Amino acid sequence: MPELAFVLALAVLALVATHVLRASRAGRGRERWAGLAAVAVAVAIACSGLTVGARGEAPRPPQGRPPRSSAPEWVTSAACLPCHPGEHASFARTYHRTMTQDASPRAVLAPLDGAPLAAGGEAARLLVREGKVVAETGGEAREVVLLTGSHREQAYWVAGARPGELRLFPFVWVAADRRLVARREAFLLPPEAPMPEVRWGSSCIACHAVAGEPRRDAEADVWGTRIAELGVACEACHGPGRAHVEQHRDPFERWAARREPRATRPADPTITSPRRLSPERSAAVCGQCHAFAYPKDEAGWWQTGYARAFRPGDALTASRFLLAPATLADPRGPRVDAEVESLYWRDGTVRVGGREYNGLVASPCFERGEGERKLTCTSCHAMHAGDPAGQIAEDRRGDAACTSCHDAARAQAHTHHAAGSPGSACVACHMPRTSYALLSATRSHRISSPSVTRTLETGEPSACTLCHLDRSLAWTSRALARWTGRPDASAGWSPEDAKVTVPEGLRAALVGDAAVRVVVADALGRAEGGARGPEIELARLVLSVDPYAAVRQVAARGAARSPRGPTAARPEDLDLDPRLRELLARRDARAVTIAE
Amino acid sequence: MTPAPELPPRDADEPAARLVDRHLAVGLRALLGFVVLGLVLEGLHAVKSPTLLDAGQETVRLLLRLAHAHGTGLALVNLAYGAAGHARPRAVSPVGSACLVAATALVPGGFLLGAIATRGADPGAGVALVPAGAVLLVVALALAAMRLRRRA
Repeated sequence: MPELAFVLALAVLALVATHVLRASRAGRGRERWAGLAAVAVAVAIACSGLTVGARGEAPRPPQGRPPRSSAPEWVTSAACLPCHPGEHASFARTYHRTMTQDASPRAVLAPLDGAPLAAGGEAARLLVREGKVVAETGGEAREVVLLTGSHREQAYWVAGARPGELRLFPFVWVAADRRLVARREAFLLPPEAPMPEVRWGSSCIACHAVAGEPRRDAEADVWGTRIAELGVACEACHGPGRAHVEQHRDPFERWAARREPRATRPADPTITSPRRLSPERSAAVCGQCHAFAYPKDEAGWWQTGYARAFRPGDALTASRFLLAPATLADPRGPRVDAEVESLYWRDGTVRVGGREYNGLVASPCFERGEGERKLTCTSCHAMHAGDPAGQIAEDRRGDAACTSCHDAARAQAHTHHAAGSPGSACVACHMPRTSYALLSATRSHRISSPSVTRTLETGEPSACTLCHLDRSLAWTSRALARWTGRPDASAGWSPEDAKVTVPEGLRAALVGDAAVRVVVADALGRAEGGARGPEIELARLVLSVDPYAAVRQVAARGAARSPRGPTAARPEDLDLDPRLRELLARRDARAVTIAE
Repeated sequence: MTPAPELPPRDADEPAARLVDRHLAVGLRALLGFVVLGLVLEGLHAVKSPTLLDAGQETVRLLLRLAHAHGTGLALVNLAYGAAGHARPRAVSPVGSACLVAATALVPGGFLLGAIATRGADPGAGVALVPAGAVLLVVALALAAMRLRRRA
């Protein structure tokens, strides 16, 4: 096509130049010269423009960039734009769109100044060369092919040694701290544990692209990865759009369809509208990515992913096992690399961020809700409205989502906190930040009520003491007993018990496992609780020398708001009194890995 | 006594009437062609053509619109040039006429050819015809203006 345009342009130019030249030659005086000069200038401009324009080659995708899926039913979000510009625009501003992008200097969040980066013996640089993003590791330069993430972290993918393989650049950009961090420090990973092997075609493809197909040849370890579209785009939630687009090309059909008001219009069978699905199936649309699950047909998944096994509107269970401690304990069930205790609190509540579906379906509001009063993702979230961070619907901000069913919860008699204070928000008590991913704690989506007994049985920090970090569990237990009339769990505790004498922020920092500690480190960095005092400063110090790099990272973020900065010591080196040293000795030191 | 008709330009090989006819014909044909292009574009909008409307086709869409708008505008300029030549034969000249006809081909033609093989926000190489056409259009209009001024 470019060649055809070039030849046509030359032909048109030659014709008109001949025409003007003929007329000029026949002209007289100044006009003759004006005509000749005009045609000379015009031909010079056109020829130089054509030469320059024809010289450039169309950019070729970098090696390793997954090609478009050959399945014809996927049309990409580009095809949705002509009829749905508003929805396309609202989708385009979300972090879903940028879940995976082609690498370009504009899309990269990290500075591309070529500054040397070093961690764990790995030296690296990120820079721009000839307009392309280039990653240098160990003196070898490779073009960055894809970027994943943009909201909390951004990772950089370069072509691996094997065909079709994409490997992770050793540093990731942490948006909250505005700096590049060694990738193993961005995961919650035991200090001596090897870095989990991460490849885009296996680790990211299912949720960071539409209709991703790994197409991995396991024997040769080569990849023929294909995708319908990078990022989480329209067809991820609405299903493949080919039939819909073809049907609605006819303007008369569109006009006829739109005569009826949207509210009473029958469902369009050519496309899935999550709004029209039942709460369970609507949640499953989000759950296809926001669930901790495993494919039922593992061999099939390595070929075509979920591109053929799942369509929005289907139940998740048709294509995958929803992972829970019971599923993982089943010898005939799926095997995953991570330890069960890393992923769940002891009552089976998922503690990995981004896996909200598992929490939702275990919530009483989902289990016991009926019809419109059944909790689903869109009870709070809207994909085409609201703030891109969190995507909470405008009319569901604050307590609106909860009080649409629980009207009495508006009363201060229920919240026991001053109206408008952080503690009075429904989510503060019922969705505490006890899940972890990407160097921050996120809200648990298993709706629950604060309970000291539950905290002791499951290990999940109490919502109360994630704000009131300077208060003990005994204080919490007494307050809850007073408010709810339930028995005080602390009634039999010894006055010497650390649960009575030590603020929970410090106790959890000393005895908790790595997931507890990172959650507490995150809470210490938030201003909501306003906890202060020497014991809180000691908790910060303990966490700032934690063996887990991710805990130290999160603690350092909080320490930036604290008078005391992180140190290079170890917890054992701290000058703790015997009572606290004993707690440290009882620390839950089991290995915890949350590599999301 | 009836006033003597204005003489055709002395330095022209072609009589003014022939130039007037040429521009009326070129103008009407160009108008027909670019109105049809407008209809085609509307039709592509109606059927939501991916070539014109999909995301990523913004440059193609812009260039086709520009071709339609400039082609239609230049067709009207040709009609105006013909009408001016009819009313004031001295305003037209073979060189100016040739430049205007060339501009009528080059400007919209450049936009049309530029719509082929666009690269992101950049048009294809064919768009190089547009500035060439613009130069010829300026010369055509300048010559017409000068001729009217000189004889006024």
